[in-house]
Amino acid sequence: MAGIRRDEVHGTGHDMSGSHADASNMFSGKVAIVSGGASGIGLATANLLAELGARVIATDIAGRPDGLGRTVDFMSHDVTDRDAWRAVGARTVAALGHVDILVNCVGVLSEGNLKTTSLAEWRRVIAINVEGTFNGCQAIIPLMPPSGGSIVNMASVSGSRGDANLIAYTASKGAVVMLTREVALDCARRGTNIRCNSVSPGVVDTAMIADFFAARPSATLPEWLASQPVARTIAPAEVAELIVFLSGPEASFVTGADFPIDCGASA
Amino acid sequence: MQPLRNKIALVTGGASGLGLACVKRFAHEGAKAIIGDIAPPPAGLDAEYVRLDVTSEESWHAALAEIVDRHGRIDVLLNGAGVALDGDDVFGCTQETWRRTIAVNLDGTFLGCKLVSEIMAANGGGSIINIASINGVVGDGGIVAEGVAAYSASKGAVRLLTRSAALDLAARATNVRCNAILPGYFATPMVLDYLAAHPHPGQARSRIETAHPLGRMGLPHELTGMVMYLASSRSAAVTGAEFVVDGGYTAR
Repeated sequence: MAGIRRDEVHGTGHDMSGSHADASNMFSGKVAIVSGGASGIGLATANLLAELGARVIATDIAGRPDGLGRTVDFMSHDVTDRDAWRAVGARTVAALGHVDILVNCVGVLSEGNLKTTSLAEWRRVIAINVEGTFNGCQAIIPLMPPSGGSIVNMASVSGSRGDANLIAYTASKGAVVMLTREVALDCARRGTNIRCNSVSPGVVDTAMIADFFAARPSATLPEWLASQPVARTIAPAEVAELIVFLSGPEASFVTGADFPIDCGASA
Repeated sequence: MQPLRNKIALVTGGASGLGLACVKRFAHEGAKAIIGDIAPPPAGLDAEYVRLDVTSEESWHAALAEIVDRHGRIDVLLNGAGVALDGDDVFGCTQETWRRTIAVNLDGTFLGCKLVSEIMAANGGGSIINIASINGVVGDGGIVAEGVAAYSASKGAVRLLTRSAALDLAARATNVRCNAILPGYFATPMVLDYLAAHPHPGQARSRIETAHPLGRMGLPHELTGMVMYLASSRSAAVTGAEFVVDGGYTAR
Protein backbone atom coordinates (compact mmCIF):
# COMPACT_ATOMS: atom_id res chain seq x y z
CA MET A 1 0.00 0.00 0.00
CA ALA A 2 1.98 2.90 -1.33
CA GLY A 3 2.09 6.24 0.37
CA ILE A 4 1.07 5.30 3.89
CA ARG A 5 3.14 3.44 6.40
CA ARG A 6 1.23 1.06 8.55
CA ASP A 7 2.83 2.44 11.69
CA GLU A 8 1.11 5.75 11.01
CA VAL A 9 -2.23 4.42 12.16
CA HIS A 10 -2.69 5.72 15.64
CA GLY A 11 -4.74 4.35 18.46
CA THR A 12 -8.26 5.47 19.10
CA GLY A 13 -11.19 4.79 21.32
CA HIS A 14 -9.76 7.93 22.91
CA ASP A 15 -10.61 7.32 26.46
CA MET A 16 -10.75 10.04 29.01
CA SER A 17 -8.51 8.19 31.43
CA GLY A 18 -5.64 8.69 29.02
CA SER A 19 -4.74 5.05 28.50
CA HIS A 20 -3.59 4.25 25.02
CA ALA A 21 -5.75 2.06 22.82
CA ASP A 22 -3.90 -0.57 20.86
CA ALA A 23 -4.17 0.47 17.22
CA SER A 24 -4.21 -3.12 16.04
CA ASN A 25 -7.39 -3.75 18.06
CA MET A 26 -9.20 -0.52 17.25
CA PHE A 27 -12.03 -2.43 15.52
CA SER A 28 -11.89 -5.59 17.59
CA GLY A 29 -15.32 -7.25 17.73
CA LYS A 30 -16.68 -5.11 14.88
CA VAL A 31 -18.18 -6.60 11.73
CA ALA A 32 -17.75 -4.72 8.45
CA ILE A 33 -19.12 -5.27 4.95
CA VAL A 34 -17.18 -3.61 2.14
CA SER A 35 -18.77 -3.71 -1.31
CA GLY A 36 -16.41 -3.28 -4.24
CA GLY A 37 -13.81 -4.99 -2.10
CA ALA A 38 -11.99 -6.73 -4.95
CA SER A 39 -9.97 -3.71 -6.05
CA GLY A 40 -8.94 -0.13 -5.46
CA ILE A 41 -10.34 1.77 -2.50
CA GLY A 42 -12.62 -1.10 -1.45
CA LEU A 43 -9.74 -3.57 -1.31
CA ALA A 44 -7.54 -1.15 0.65
CA THR A 45 -10.38 -0.42 3.07
CA ALA A 46 -11.21 -4.11 3.62
CA ASN A 47 -7.57 -4.86 4.36
CA LEU A 48 -7.12 -1.88 6.69
CA LEU A 49 -10.26 -2.68 8.69
CA ALA A 50 -9.08 -6.28 9.01
CA GLU A 51 -5.62 -5.17 10.15
CA LEU A 52 -7.28 -3.07 12.84
CA GLY A 53 -9.18 -6.05 14.18
CA ALA A 54 -12.54 -6.02 12.39
CA ARG A 55 -14.18 -9.10 10.90
CA VAL A 56 -14.50 -8.03 7.28
CA ILE A 57 -16.66 -9.37 4.46
CA ALA A 58 -15.56 -7.98 1.11
CA THR A 59 -17.99 -8.32 -1.77
CA ASP A 60 -17.58 -7.75 -5.46
CA ILE A 61 -19.01 -8.79 -8.79
CA ALA A 62 -15.46 -9.87 -9.68
CA GLY A 63 -13.94 -12.90 -7.96
CA ARG A 64 -11.78 -12.90 -4.87
CA PRO A 65 -8.55 -11.00 -5.64
CA ASP A 66 -5.08 -12.12 -4.65
CA GLY A 67 -4.44 -8.93 -2.70
CA LEU A 68 -7.18 -9.45 -0.14
CA GLY A 69 -5.95 -10.14 3.38
CA ARG A 70 -6.12 -13.75 4.53
CA THR A 71 -8.58 -12.96 7.31
CA VAL A 72 -11.01 -11.13 5.02
CA ASP A 73 -14.04 -13.17 3.93
CA PHE A 74 -15.25 -12.73 0.38
CA MET A 75 -18.65 -13.05 -1.30
CA SER A 76 -19.53 -12.56 -4.96
CA HIS A 77 -22.26 -10.01 -5.22
CA ASP A 78 -23.97 -7.67 -7.71
CA VAL A 79 -24.92 -4.48 -5.87
CA THR A 80 -27.78 -3.76 -8.26
CA ASP A 81 -29.46 -7.02 -7.19
CA ARG A 82 -31.51 -6.48 -4.05
CA ASP A 83 -31.85 -10.21 -3.40
CA ALA A 84 -28.08 -10.53 -3.55
CA TRP A 85 -27.75 -7.76 -0.94
CA ARG A 86 -30.23 -9.55 1.32
CA ALA A 87 -28.24 -12.77 0.91
CA VAL A 88 -24.99 -11.02 1.85
CA GLY A 89 -26.70 -9.59 4.94
CA ALA A 90 -28.27 -12.91 5.92
CA ARG A 91 -25.03 -14.86 5.52
CA THR A 92 -23.13 -12.27 7.52
CA VAL A 93 -25.64 -12.28 10.36
CA ALA A 94 -25.78 -16.08 10.37
CA ALA A 95 -22.02 -16.24 10.78
CA LEU A 96 -21.27 -13.16 12.88
CA GLY A 97 -24.55 -12.03 14.42
CA HIS A 98 -24.76 -8.43 13.25
CA VAL A 99 -23.12 -5.72 11.13
CA ASP A 100 -21.44 -2.60 12.55
CA ILE A 101 -19.91 -1.01 9.47
CA LEU A 102 -20.99 -0.79 5.84
CA VAL A 103 -18.66 0.70 3.24
CA ASN A 104 -20.29 1.13 -0.17
CA CYS A 105 -17.27 1.20 -2.45
CA VAL A 106 -18.67 -0.03 -5.75
CA GLY A 107 -18.47 2.46 -8.57
CA VAL A 108 -18.09 2.76 -12.31
CA LEU A 109 -16.69 5.63 -14.33
CA SER A 110 -18.08 6.31 -17.78
CA GLU A 111 -17.25 8.90 -20.39
CA GLY A 112 -20.07 10.59 -22.22
CA ASN A 113 -21.82 13.92 -22.65
CA LEU A 114 -25.49 14.77 -23.07
CA LYS A 115 -25.44 13.81 -26.72
CA THR A 116 -23.33 10.65 -26.60
CA THR A 117 -24.69 9.06 -23.42
CA SER A 118 -27.32 6.46 -24.24
CA LEU A 119 -30.17 5.80 -21.89
CA ALA A 120 -28.79 2.29 -21.37
CA GLU A 121 -25.40 3.61 -20.29
CA TRP A 122 -27.02 6.29 -18.11
CA ARG A 123 -29.10 3.62 -16.38
CA ARG A 124 -26.09 1.32 -15.92
CA VAL A 125 -24.06 4.04 -14.15
CA ILE A 126 -26.96 5.21 -11.99
CA ALA A 127 -27.88 1.62 -11.13
CA ILE A 128 -24.40 0.69 -9.92
CA ASN A 129 -23.31 3.95 -8.29
CA VAL A 130 -26.57 5.18 -6.79
CA GLU A 131 -28.97 2.26 -6.61
CA GLY A 132 -26.17 -0.05 -5.46
CA THR A 133 -25.48 2.31 -2.57
CA PHE A 134 -29.18 2.70 -1.79
CA ASN A 135 -29.68 -1.06 -1.84
CA GLY A 136 -26.77 -1.55 0.51
CA CYS A 137 -28.08 0.96 3.04
CA GLN A 138 -31.59 -0.47 2.90
CA ALA A 139 -30.47 -4.09 3.26
CA ILE A 140 -27.82 -3.63 5.94
CA ILE A 141 -29.13 -0.90 8.27
CA PRO A 142 -31.70 -3.27 9.84
CA LEU A 143 -28.81 -5.59 10.70
CA MET A 144 -26.96 -2.90 12.66
CA PRO A 145 -27.42 -2.57 16.41
CA PRO A 146 -29.39 0.63 17.12
CA SER A 147 -26.73 1.46 19.70
CA GLY A 148 -24.34 2.26 16.91
CA GLY A 149 -23.26 1.65 13.37
CA SER A 150 -21.52 3.50 10.61
CA ILE A 151 -21.99 3.72 6.86
CA VAL A 152 -19.50 5.30 4.49
CA ASN A 153 -20.51 5.89 0.88
CA MET A 154 -18.23 6.61 -2.04
CA ALA A 155 -18.92 10.00 -3.62
CA SER A 156 -16.30 11.94 -5.63
CA VAL A 157 -15.03 15.42 -6.37
CA SER A 158 -17.29 14.88 -9.39
CA GLY A 159 -20.25 14.98 -7.01
CA SER A 160 -19.91 18.72 -6.54
CA ARG A 161 -18.43 19.83 -9.84
CA GLY A 162 -19.88 19.32 -13.29
CA ASP A 163 -17.98 17.77 -16.17
CA ALA A 164 -19.62 17.81 -19.60
CA ASN A 165 -17.92 14.56 -20.56
CA LEU A 166 -18.81 12.63 -17.38
CA ILE A 167 -22.48 13.39 -17.25
CA ALA A 168 -23.77 10.13 -15.80
CA TYR A 169 -20.88 9.80 -13.37
CA THR A 170 -21.16 13.34 -11.96
CA ALA A 171 -24.94 13.01 -11.61
CA SER A 172 -24.53 9.68 -9.82
CA LYS A 173 -22.01 11.08 -7.35
CA GLY A 174 -24.12 14.15 -6.62
CA ALA A 175 -26.93 11.72 -5.86
CA VAL A 176 -24.71 9.75 -3.48
CA VAL A 177 -23.92 12.92 -1.49
CA MET A 178 -27.62 13.70 -1.00
CA LEU A 179 -28.58 10.06 -0.41
CA THR A 180 -25.97 10.05 2.34
CA ARG A 181 -27.58 13.05 4.06
CA GLU A 182 -31.01 11.47 3.83
CA VAL A 183 -29.81 8.17 5.28
CA ALA A 184 -28.06 10.04 8.11
CA LEU A 185 -31.15 12.08 8.95
CA ASP A 186 -33.44 9.07 8.72
CA CYS A 187 -31.25 7.00 11.05
CA ALA A 188 -31.06 9.92 13.52
CA ARG A 189 -34.82 10.52 13.34
CA ARG A 190 -35.42 6.90 14.31
CA GLY A 191 -33.31 7.48 17.39
CA THR A 192 -30.62 5.07 16.29
CA ASN A 193 -26.96 5.89 16.69
CA ILE A 194 -26.22 4.82 13.13
CA ARG A 195 -24.15 7.41 11.28
CA CYS A 196 -23.79 7.85 7.53
CA ASN A 197 -21.15 9.92 5.72
CA SER A 198 -19.53 10.06 2.31
CA VAL A 199 -16.01 10.62 1.06
CA SER A 200 -15.15 12.50 -2.11
CA PRO A 201 -11.79 11.54 -3.51
CA GLY A 202 -9.89 13.20 -6.32
CA VAL A 203 -7.79 11.14 -8.74
CA VAL A 204 -7.04 7.84 -7.02
CA ASP A 205 -4.65 5.22 -8.35
CA THR A 206 -7.26 2.52 -9.02
CA ALA A 207 -8.14 0.03 -11.73
CA MET A 208 -11.29 2.05 -12.39
CA ILE A 209 -9.28 5.08 -13.45
CA ALA A 210 -6.57 3.03 -15.21
CA ASP A 211 -9.23 1.23 -17.27
CA PHE A 212 -10.91 4.54 -18.05
CA PHE A 213 -7.74 6.04 -19.52
CA ALA A 214 -6.77 2.78 -21.24
CA ALA A 215 -9.91 3.21 -23.35
CA ARG A 216 -8.40 6.47 -24.68
CA PRO A 217 -11.05 8.96 -23.60
CA SER A 218 -10.95 12.61 -24.68
CA ALA A 219 -9.31 13.64 -21.39
CA THR A 220 -5.83 12.61 -20.27
CA LEU A 221 -4.52 11.66 -16.84
CA PRO A 222 -2.15 14.66 -16.75
CA GLU A 223 -5.13 16.94 -17.42
CA TRP A 224 -7.03 15.37 -14.55
CA LEU A 225 -4.04 15.68 -12.26
CA ALA A 226 -3.63 19.32 -13.26
CA SER A 227 -7.10 19.97 -11.83
CA GLN A 228 -5.65 19.15 -8.41
CA PRO A 229 -3.54 21.92 -6.86
CA VAL A 230 -1.26 19.15 -5.62
CA ALA A 231 -0.85 17.27 -8.90
CA ARG A 232 -0.38 13.65 -7.85
CA THR A 233 -2.50 10.54 -7.75
CA ILE A 234 -3.93 9.59 -4.38
CA ALA A 235 -3.20 6.09 -3.09
CA PRO A 236 -6.20 3.85 -2.32
CA ALA A 237 -4.68 3.35 1.14
CA GLU A 238 -4.93 7.09 1.79
CA VAL A 239 -8.66 7.05 1.07
CA ALA A 240 -8.98 3.94 3.23
CA GLU A 241 -7.53 5.88 6.17
CA LEU A 242 -10.30 8.48 5.89
CA ILE A 243 -13.00 5.83 5.49
CA VAL A 244 -11.73 3.98 8.53
CA PHE A 245 -11.66 7.20 10.54
CA LEU A 246 -15.31 7.83 9.66
CA SER A 247 -16.22 4.19 10.40
CA GLY A 248 -14.87 4.23 13.92
CA PRO A 249 -15.47 5.70 17.36
CA GLU A 250 -13.35 8.78 16.70
CA ALA A 251 -16.09 10.10 14.41
CA SER A 252 -18.95 9.58 16.88
CA PHE A 253 -20.35 13.11 16.36
CA VAL A 254 -19.98 13.01 12.57
CA THR A 255 -23.00 12.23 10.43
CA GLY A 256 -24.61 13.43 7.21
CA ALA A 257 -21.39 14.97 5.96
CA ASP A 258 -19.17 14.63 2.90
CA PHE A 259 -15.39 14.61 3.24
CA PRO A 260 -13.04 15.61 0.41
CA ILE A 261 -9.71 13.86 -0.07
CA ASP A 262 -8.67 15.49 -3.30
CA CYS A 263 -5.28 17.26 -3.09
CA GLY A 264 -7.11 20.59 -3.04
CA ALA A 265 -9.30 20.02 -6.12
CA SER A 266 -12.48 21.29 -4.48
CA ALA A 267 -10.85 24.26 -2.75
CA MET B 1 4.31 3.87 16.80
CA GLN B 2 2.52 7.19 16.98
CA PRO B 3 2.34 9.36 13.83
CA LEU B 4 2.43 12.59 15.83
CA ARG B 5 5.30 11.60 18.12
CA ASN B 6 7.67 14.54 18.65
CA LYS B 7 5.72 16.82 16.32
CA ILE B 8 5.65 20.44 17.41
CA ALA B 9 1.98 21.47 17.60
CA LEU B 10 0.93 25.04 18.37
CA VAL B 11 -2.67 25.41 19.53
CA THR B 12 -4.07 28.94 19.72
CA GLY B 13 -6.83 29.30 22.25
CA GLY B 14 -5.36 26.18 23.82
CA ALA B 15 -6.01 27.23 27.42
CA SER B 16 -9.70 26.27 27.34
CA GLY B 17 -12.50 24.54 25.48
CA LEU B 18 -11.89 22.60 22.29
CA GLY B 19 -8.34 23.98 22.09
CA LEU B 20 -7.51 22.57 25.51
CA ALA B 21 -9.01 19.18 24.61
CA CYS B 22 -6.77 19.11 21.54
CA VAL B 23 -3.71 20.10 23.56
CA LYS B 24 -4.29 17.13 25.86
CA ARG B 25 -4.79 14.81 22.92
CA PHE B 26 -1.65 16.04 21.15
CA ALA B 27 0.32 15.33 24.31
CA HIS B 28 -1.35 11.92 24.58
CA GLU B 29 -0.23 11.16 21.02
CA GLY B 30 3.37 11.98 21.88
CA ALA B 31 3.48 15.42 20.27
CA LYS B 32 5.00 18.49 21.89
CA ALA B 33 1.93 20.63 22.47
CA ILE B 34 2.35 24.39 22.83
CA ILE B 35 -0.51 26.51 24.08
CA GLY B 36 -0.70 29.98 22.58
CA ASP B 37 -3.27 32.00 24.50
CA ILE B 38 -3.80 35.32 26.23
CA ALA B 39 -4.84 33.38 29.32
CA PRO B 40 -2.42 31.05 31.07
CA PRO B 41 -3.45 27.38 30.91
CA PRO B 42 -4.59 25.32 33.87
CA ALA B 43 -1.76 23.85 35.91
CA GLY B 44 -0.48 20.32 35.50
CA LEU B 45 -0.69 20.02 31.71
CA ASP B 46 1.88 18.19 29.64
CA ALA B 47 2.27 21.26 27.41
CA GLU B 48 4.31 24.40 27.01
CA TYR B 49 2.79 27.86 27.09
CA VAL B 50 3.56 31.02 25.16
CA ARG B 51 1.60 34.18 25.66
CA LEU B 52 -0.14 34.98 22.39
CA ASP B 53 -2.70 37.61 21.49
CA VAL B 54 -3.79 36.32 18.09
CA THR B 55 -5.08 39.74 17.06
CA SER B 56 -1.61 41.27 17.32
CA GLU B 57 1.02 40.70 14.67
CA GLU B 58 3.73 41.78 17.15
CA SER B 59 2.49 39.18 19.62
CA TRP B 60 2.62 36.50 16.92
CA HIS B 61 6.19 37.45 16.01
CA ALA B 62 7.30 37.29 19.63
CA ALA B 63 5.56 33.96 20.32
CA LEU B 64 6.85 32.34 17.13
CA ALA B 65 10.40 33.55 17.77
CA GLU B 66 10.23 31.92 21.20
CA ILE B 67 8.94 28.62 19.78
CA VAL B 68 11.44 28.51 16.91
CA ASP B 69 14.24 29.37 19.29
CA ARG B 70 13.24 26.46 21.51
CA HIS B 71 12.24 23.84 18.93
CA GLY B 72 13.51 25.02 15.55
CA ARG B 73 10.24 24.34 13.75
CA ILE B 74 6.44 24.03 13.92
CA ASP B 75 4.75 20.98 12.36
CA VAL B 76 1.12 21.60 13.22
CA LEU B 77 -0.87 24.78 13.80
CA LEU B 78 -4.39 24.56 15.20
CA ASN B 79 -6.05 27.96 14.96
CA GLY B 80 -8.51 27.40 17.77
CA ALA B 81 -8.77 30.86 19.33
CA GLY B 82 -12.28 32.17 18.93
CA VAL B 83 -14.93 34.26 20.64
CA ALA B 84 -18.72 34.40 20.50
CA LEU B 85 -19.71 37.67 22.15
CA ASP B 86 -22.99 38.79 23.70
CA GLY B 87 -25.20 41.17 21.75
CA ASP B 88 -24.20 39.75 18.36
CA ASP B 89 -27.54 40.15 16.59
CA VAL B 90 -27.61 41.99 13.29
CA PHE B 91 -29.46 45.03 14.61
CA GLY B 92 -27.79 45.32 17.99
CA CYS B 93 -24.21 44.33 17.16
CA THR B 94 -22.01 47.30 18.02
CA GLN B 95 -18.98 48.17 15.98
CA GLU B 96 -16.88 47.19 18.97
CA THR B 97 -18.43 43.71 19.12
CA TRP B 98 -18.10 43.34 15.37
CA ARG B 99 -14.45 44.35 15.30
CA ARG B 100 -13.47 42.25 18.31
CA THR B 101 -15.13 39.14 16.82
CA ILE B 102 -13.52 39.64 13.43
CA ALA B 103 -10.16 40.43 15.03
CA VAL B 104 -9.97 37.24 17.09
CA ASN B 105 -11.75 34.75 14.85
CA LEU B 106 -10.62 35.96 11.45
CA ASP B 107 -7.55 38.22 11.72
CA GLY B 108 -6.10 35.81 14.28
CA THR B 109 -6.53 32.88 11.91
CA PHE B 110 -5.14 34.87 9.00
CA LEU B 111 -2.03 35.86 10.94
CA GLY B 112 -1.50 32.27 12.06
CA CYS B 113 -1.78 30.95 8.50
CA LYS B 114 0.45 33.70 7.13
CA LEU B 115 3.26 33.60 9.68
CA VAL B 116 3.35 29.92 10.63
CA SER B 117 3.12 28.66 7.05
CA GLU B 118 6.43 30.44 6.36
CA ILE B 119 8.10 28.60 9.22
CA MET B 120 6.57 25.31 8.06
CA ALA B 121 7.57 25.83 4.43
CA ALA B 122 11.15 26.54 5.46
CA ASN B 123 11.18 23.20 7.30
CA GLY B 124 9.72 21.01 4.57
CA GLY B 125 6.00 21.25 5.30
CA GLY B 126 3.28 21.12 7.89
CA SER B 127 -0.42 21.02 8.58
CA ILE B 128 -2.63 24.00 9.47
CA ILE B 129 -6.09 23.35 10.87
CA ASN B 130 -8.54 26.22 11.21
CA ILE B 131 -11.60 26.00 13.42
CA ALA B 132 -14.55 27.44 11.50
CA SER B 133 -18.13 26.58 12.47
CA ILE B 134 -21.44 25.33 11.16
CA ASN B 135 -22.39 29.00 11.43
CA GLY B 136 -19.93 29.58 8.61
CA VAL B 137 -22.30 27.52 6.43
CA VAL B 138 -25.78 28.29 7.74
CA GLY B 139 -27.18 31.20 9.71
CA ASP B 140 -28.42 30.67 13.19
CA GLY B 141 -32.14 30.47 12.43
CA GLY B 142 -33.24 31.24 15.98
CA ILE B 143 -31.31 28.48 17.74
CA VAL B 144 -29.48 31.14 19.70
CA ALA B 145 -32.06 33.91 19.87
CA GLU B 146 -29.40 36.43 20.79
CA GLY B 147 -27.88 36.18 17.34
CA VAL B 148 -24.52 35.31 15.81
CA ALA B 149 -24.04 38.00 13.18
CA ALA B 150 -20.36 38.85 13.49
CA TYR B 151 -19.58 35.29 14.57
CA SER B 152 -21.16 33.79 11.43
CA ALA B 153 -19.46 36.32 9.21
CA SER B 154 -16.09 35.57 10.78
CA LYS B 155 -16.53 31.81 10.40
CA GLY B 156 -17.72 32.02 6.79
CA ALA B 157 -14.61 34.04 6.11
CA VAL B 158 -12.41 31.44 7.83
CA ARG B 159 -13.77 28.80 5.43
CA LEU B 160 -12.75 30.74 2.35
CA LEU B 161 -9.49 31.92 3.91
CA THR B 162 -8.69 28.23 4.39
CA ARG B 163 -9.38 27.39 0.76
CA SER B 164 -7.39 30.31 -0.61
CA ALA B 165 -4.50 29.65 1.75
CA ALA B 166 -4.44 25.98 0.70
CA LEU B 167 -4.38 26.91 -2.98
CA ASP B 168 -1.60 29.43 -2.43
CA LEU B 169 0.47 26.99 -0.39
CA ALA B 170 -0.02 24.24 -2.99
CA ALA B 171 0.88 26.56 -5.87
CA ARG B 172 4.13 27.40 -4.15
CA ALA B 173 4.86 23.69 -3.54
CA THR B 174 5.40 24.29 0.16
CA ASN B 175 4.06 20.91 1.32
CA VAL B 176 2.00 22.88 3.82
CA ARG B 177 -1.61 21.77 3.96
CA CYS B 178 -4.49 23.90 5.25
CA ASN B 179 -7.93 22.58 6.17
CA ALA B 180 -10.92 23.67 8.22
CA ILE B 181 -13.05 21.87 10.77
CA LEU B 182 -16.64 23.02 11.15
CA PRO B 183 -17.93 21.98 14.56
CA GLY B 184 -21.53 22.03 15.62
CA TYR B 185 -22.30 22.92 19.22
CA PHE B 186 -19.94 21.32 21.70
CA ALA B 187 -20.21 21.26 25.46
CA THR B 188 -17.41 23.79 25.93
CA PRO B 189 -17.12 26.74 28.33
CA MET B 190 -18.19 29.01 25.42
CA VAL B 191 -21.54 27.22 25.19
CA LEU B 192 -21.95 26.20 28.84
CA ASP B 193 -21.29 29.75 30.07
CA TYR B 194 -23.86 31.02 27.61
CA LEU B 195 -26.39 28.52 28.96
CA ALA B 196 -25.54 29.28 32.59
CA ALA B 197 -26.25 32.95 32.03
CA HIS B 198 -29.46 32.30 30.12
CA PRO B 199 -32.79 33.15 31.80
CA HIS B 200 -34.24 29.85 30.54
CA PRO B 201 -31.23 27.53 30.40
CA GLY B 202 -33.28 24.34 30.01
CA GLN B 203 -35.16 25.64 26.99
CA ALA B 204 -32.03 27.11 25.49
CA ARG B 205 -30.17 23.83 25.90
CA SER B 206 -33.03 21.86 24.43
CA ARG B 207 -33.17 24.17 21.38
CA ILE B 208 -29.48 23.60 20.78
CA GLU B 209 -29.66 19.84 21.25
CA THR B 210 -32.65 19.31 18.97
CA ALA B 211 -30.98 21.36 16.23
CA HIS B 212 -28.54 18.45 15.91
CA PRO B 213 -30.15 15.35 14.39
CA LEU B 214 -28.13 13.22 16.83
CA GLY B 215 -30.09 15.05 19.56
CA ARG B 216 -27.18 16.23 21.64
CA MET B 217 -24.16 18.49 21.74
CA GLY B 218 -20.73 17.13 20.92
CA LEU B 219 -18.25 16.34 23.65
CA PRO B 220 -14.79 17.90 23.30
CA HIS B 221 -13.07 14.52 22.87
CA GLU B 222 -15.30 13.89 19.83
CA LEU B 223 -13.49 16.64 17.96
CA THR B 224 -9.94 15.67 18.78
CA GLY B 225 -9.83 12.60 16.51
CA MET B 226 -10.63 14.77 13.50
CA VAL B 227 -7.85 17.15 14.49
CA MET B 228 -5.36 14.29 14.89
CA TYR B 229 -6.32 12.93 11.47
CA LEU B 230 -5.75 16.29 9.78
CA ALA B 231 -2.56 16.94 11.76
CA SER B 232 -0.91 13.66 10.77
CA SER B 233 0.41 12.41 7.46
CA ARG B 234 -2.56 10.04 7.27
CA SER B 235 -4.30 13.00 5.58
CA ALA B 236 -1.40 13.85 3.26
CA ALA B 237 -3.76 14.08 0.26
CA VAL B 238 -6.16 16.44 2.02
CA THR B 239 -5.88 20.20 1.62
CA GLY B 240 -8.29 23.08 1.12
CA ALA B 241 -11.09 20.94 2.49
CA GLU B 242 -13.77 21.31 5.12
CA PHE B 243 -14.60 18.72 7.75
CA VAL B 244 -18.00 19.06 9.37
CA VAL B 245 -18.30 17.55 12.86
CA ASP B 246 -21.81 18.56 13.77
CA GLY B 247 -24.06 15.63 14.63
CA GLY B 248 -25.88 16.17 11.32
CA TYR B 249 -26.72 19.88 11.93
CA THR B 250 -25.94 20.97 8.36
CA ALA B 251 -27.21 17.82 6.64
CA ARG B 252 -30.74 19.24 6.51
